[in-house]
Amino acid sequence: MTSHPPTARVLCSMEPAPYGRLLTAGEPLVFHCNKYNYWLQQTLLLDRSLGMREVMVDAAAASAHSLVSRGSDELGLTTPEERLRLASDTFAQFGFGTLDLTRITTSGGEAVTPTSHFGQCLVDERGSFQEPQNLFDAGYAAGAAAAAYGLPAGSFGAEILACHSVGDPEGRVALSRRDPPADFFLSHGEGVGNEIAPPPPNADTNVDELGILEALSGLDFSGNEEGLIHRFGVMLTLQFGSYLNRVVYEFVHRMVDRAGMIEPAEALLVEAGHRCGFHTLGGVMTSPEWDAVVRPQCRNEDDWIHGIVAVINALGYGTWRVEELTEDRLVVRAYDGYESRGYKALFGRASRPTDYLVQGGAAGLFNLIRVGKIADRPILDDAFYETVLNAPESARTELATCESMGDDYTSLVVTRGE
Amino acid sequence: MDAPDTLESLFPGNIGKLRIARLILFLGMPELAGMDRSAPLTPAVAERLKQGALELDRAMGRAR
Repeated sequence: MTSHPPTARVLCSMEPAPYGRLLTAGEPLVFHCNKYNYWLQQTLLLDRSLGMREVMVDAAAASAHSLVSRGSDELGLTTPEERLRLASDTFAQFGFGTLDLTRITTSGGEAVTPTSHFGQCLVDERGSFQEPQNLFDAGYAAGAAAAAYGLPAGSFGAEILACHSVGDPEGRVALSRRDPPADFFLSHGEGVGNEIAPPPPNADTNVDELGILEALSGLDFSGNEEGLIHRFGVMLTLQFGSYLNRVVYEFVHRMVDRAGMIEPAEALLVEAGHRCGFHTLGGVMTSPEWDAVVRPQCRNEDDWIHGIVAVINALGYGTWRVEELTEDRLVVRAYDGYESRGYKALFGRASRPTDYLVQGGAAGLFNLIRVGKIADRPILDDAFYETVLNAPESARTELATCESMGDDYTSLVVTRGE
Repeated sequence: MDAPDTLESLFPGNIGKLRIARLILFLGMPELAGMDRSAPLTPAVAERLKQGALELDRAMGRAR
């Protein structure tokens, strides 16, 4: 058996944490779509000399090890079989696919993914990849196996044997013992926040944020029997914030030492966030759920911005508050975002802004509403994306403040182009 | 005689600027960041960028 139906899965409880965060077994979670996962991963892998493939595998192992270890304690799971099932069921529940760990022993073995978000959902219909994309799957299997057998996080090496993304019928990962275990970084868990309560939602709107949050809390975001989450016209994952932060900031740190490379690298990280905002938030704003819950409250274009900010506040990104909104400018305060929380936990106070995802996401939502006229229901394809981004009035975001640099909140200033 | 290639002609608009950013990382050419987008490229640089763009599409699973 490789997958349990959603209703029979062994899972840790999902805990809404303060200020809009999502936690399970101490791990911060955020919704991310296949578009973001694709553009982020392709950015991280651009410079082969950075060694990011290994970092991505190890980061996934660290997050999985943390979740399975703490989750097993929480649920009272004592045998490796029970713990491996928790790992497989969580993988499916979070939209990563189906993961068969039944052939894993304390000395290793082969993990199989009959379905895989990273193997199957990143692939553009125009082609397939030259190299396997299931790096997250490989690391997750290695970290989960180590936790299941009560071993340190770096106890298993993972070698990718097959992946859908290069044309194989399934993903396969060979796990073998590292003896001694690799000197391994660990998940940063919840991260470090400011513990500053956000102000109430902006009152200058017809949108009822609390009502929207209540309505969204009733939606089911479980992976289906293939362990995939089809929602809002994209494939969603409930991704580990600790994984994302480790791979992004490791990439940034490795780039800083290379003359002239950090600026384009950061621009691409922001663009991945812009793609995320464009496709996921665009999918939300053209969904039946939006039509049922939010659209009836919207009497003008500004209400669309307030409405989508309310939705963002249900996705694990912390709490956003609209501080200023005009035809040409949007200022958002972002409290307790996973990026700054993770950066501070990993490296302490930052010397430059670190919140790339929200920087791109804020421009993405502004461009969708103000420039792309999402209310007219355009088709959210690559051609539309390029048209909006190439438009002279296309907006961009500057970070006026950033929590990781010691500020009380991250201030996103979105300005329409000339 | 055709006009010489420029960064703007090869990679137009904001999408083109992002594509150049990818090529900077992919090809290890930070010097592209400071170049005038309308300045003529040498045939060798233009050819390297065209070839690099094709290789990049293949690496990203987007080759037609």
